[in-house]
Amino acid sequence: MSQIDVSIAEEAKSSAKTDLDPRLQLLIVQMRSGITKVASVSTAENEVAVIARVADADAWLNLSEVRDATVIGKAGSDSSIVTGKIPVTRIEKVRNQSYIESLKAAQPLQPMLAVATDETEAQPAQLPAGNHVSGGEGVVLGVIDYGGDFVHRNFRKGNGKTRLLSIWDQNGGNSPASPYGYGVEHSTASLDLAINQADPYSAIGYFPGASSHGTHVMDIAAGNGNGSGVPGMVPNADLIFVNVTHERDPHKPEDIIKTSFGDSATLLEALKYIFDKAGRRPAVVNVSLGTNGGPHDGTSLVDQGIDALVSAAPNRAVVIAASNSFDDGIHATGTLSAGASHDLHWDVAATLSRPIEMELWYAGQDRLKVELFGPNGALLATAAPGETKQVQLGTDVVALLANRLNDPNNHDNMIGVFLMSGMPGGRYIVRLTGEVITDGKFHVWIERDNIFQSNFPAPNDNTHTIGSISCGKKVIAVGSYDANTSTKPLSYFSSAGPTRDGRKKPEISAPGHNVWAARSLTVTGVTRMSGTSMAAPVVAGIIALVFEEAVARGINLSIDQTIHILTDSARRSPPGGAAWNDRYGHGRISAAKAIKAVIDMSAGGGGGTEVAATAKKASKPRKRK
Amino acid sequence: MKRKINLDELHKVESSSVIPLARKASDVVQAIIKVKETNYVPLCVRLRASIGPDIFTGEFKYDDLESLEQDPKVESVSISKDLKSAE
Repeated sequence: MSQIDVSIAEEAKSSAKTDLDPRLQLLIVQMRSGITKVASVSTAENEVAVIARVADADAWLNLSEVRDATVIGKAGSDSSIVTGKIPVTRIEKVRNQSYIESLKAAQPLQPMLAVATDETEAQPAQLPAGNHVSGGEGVVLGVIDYGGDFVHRNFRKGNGKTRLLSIWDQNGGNSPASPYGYGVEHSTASLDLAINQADPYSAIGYFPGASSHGTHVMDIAAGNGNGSGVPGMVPNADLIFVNVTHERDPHKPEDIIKTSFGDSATLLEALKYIFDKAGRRPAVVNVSLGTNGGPHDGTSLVDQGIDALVSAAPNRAVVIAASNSFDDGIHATGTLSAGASHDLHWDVAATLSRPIEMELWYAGQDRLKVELFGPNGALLATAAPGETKQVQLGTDVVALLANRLNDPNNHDNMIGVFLMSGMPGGRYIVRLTGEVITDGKFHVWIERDNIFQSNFPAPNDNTHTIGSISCGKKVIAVGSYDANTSTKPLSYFSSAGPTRDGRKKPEISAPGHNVWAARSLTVTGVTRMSGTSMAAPVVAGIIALVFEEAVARGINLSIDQTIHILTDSARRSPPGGAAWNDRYGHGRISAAKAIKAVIDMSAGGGGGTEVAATAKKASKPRKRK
Repeated sequence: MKRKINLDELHKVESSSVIPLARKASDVVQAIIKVKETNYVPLCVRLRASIGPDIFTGEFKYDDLESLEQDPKVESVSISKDLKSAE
């Protein structure tokens, strides 16, 4: 922007309405000085995005000066918060409307939203010279989550059409065309038709809801900024969104339905769906779901299934949030000797409104007896090795104790404890007694509950708090740190590894703290969220860039090569030292260094396999659109 | 209505699946199944998605758990387990 003539600016400013937002005042001053406000991805030339508090939202929606007028919500009982874009020439006219209580230029989101792309060295200007990256062009970015708002402009092209190849709403009604027999698939064509309707959501029967989780995650990975003004990691990638189901089993207890998001089988089907849709194109899928229960060693069938899918073809990856349970007191560990006992204290704050679970794993050659005591000290059940016991109150099962031997996948033993809704609050005791001990080591996790988390009393062993499906051998688990702070500290919630079998997970970390990204039902708006759910899509987006660079150079990457590229190029300080860190992983991800590694691989003759003739080849460097 | 099945006799059921299985009142069970023979699908199972050469998702009647247990070509069965949001 050219430098403003201060004398003219000051004179013009004095004639602008003095109670006007200073940024709007400046635009008026610039306009009167002959300086054009340049267009942005979301505004036209000499147009400004504004946010206002108004007494009459309908009047705002009908104000002819306002483009993309949107009512965000109520502000007190008599006012509403609204947004829109107005010509700079009409700022004062709009501000003078009697029902407008406050009018401000939209906050300069670029610095906030660009933190993740800047910090991970993913801005086009930060990438190494000679790169072939063009914002993930040619790569499919899949998101398995809930609530993906296809109407948000960050997921639409410049012409307003959708960037989504499809949405599979697993909750939709079944039809012969349903993928794997259930849900509804919304094609690009049907989404485009819907977008042009007065109520796009009703038009196709898909309602993302106001929670924004899937919208936010998808924007971090691949939003193009057409609505919010700030792009995510791969603004030119093709998108597929799978809205997970929690209604596949109509007999599931209602309390579980309300707190769960998909299940292990439908997760595999969602992954399979995305990879099949991608065909031979590179594809990376982000999963911000998980479970604390499970062997945490990569041997469960859902782990093996994911491994099979990413190994079936090159240029595939699955990225999973590490989990947000670091400080929740959900893990305990210990070592038992023969004849000794160990009491696990399990604190439940109040009468259970829904079931809770605890899962303990120990070596296959050991044998433990388990006893469950209620808050009043009464022995509720005892299960010898190999036994499953139910605790009944009348005809109702109120607790279950399973002491399973020889798991078919890893041949270890597991103790599961389950308490049903209605069980009283207080401290339960799970007593372990070593009957036959060779190894003696055990790990135990309390299942995640996003609303009401029971826990082990402090002090806690917060290692191994990573989610179980994040422990897969070929998934990429992601921890979170705060990129808004100069020291890049870990997010307090970001779960720790390693896996139960001692593998180094999470592999890597990314900004996931106070991240601003797209908000559902706003068309252009954003909201702030924190979590490893927000860190994982940063990594997913960067993997899409890596795939784009590799394919352009004629390299096919196996999942193992992809993981090595990310971890070998990760940055330190933090984390300190050279060793793997149980929360940062191998370090903080760097798009620039990961792409440089691909370039070096190409120069060194590869290590990858040759790309099929149909894949795109390197031609000339491309830049982000 | 489903018969009472002794969970302690189901050795091919993944250990983590026991609690969800014990809680199920459903006559139809959805699961991930691993088999010892490529592309083998037991007759009692309705295939939903082939995930890999020896892993698939499918549905079967609760009462068929015992036949899966006795099927020598079935390696393990993981009853579908609920996931939570990582938010």
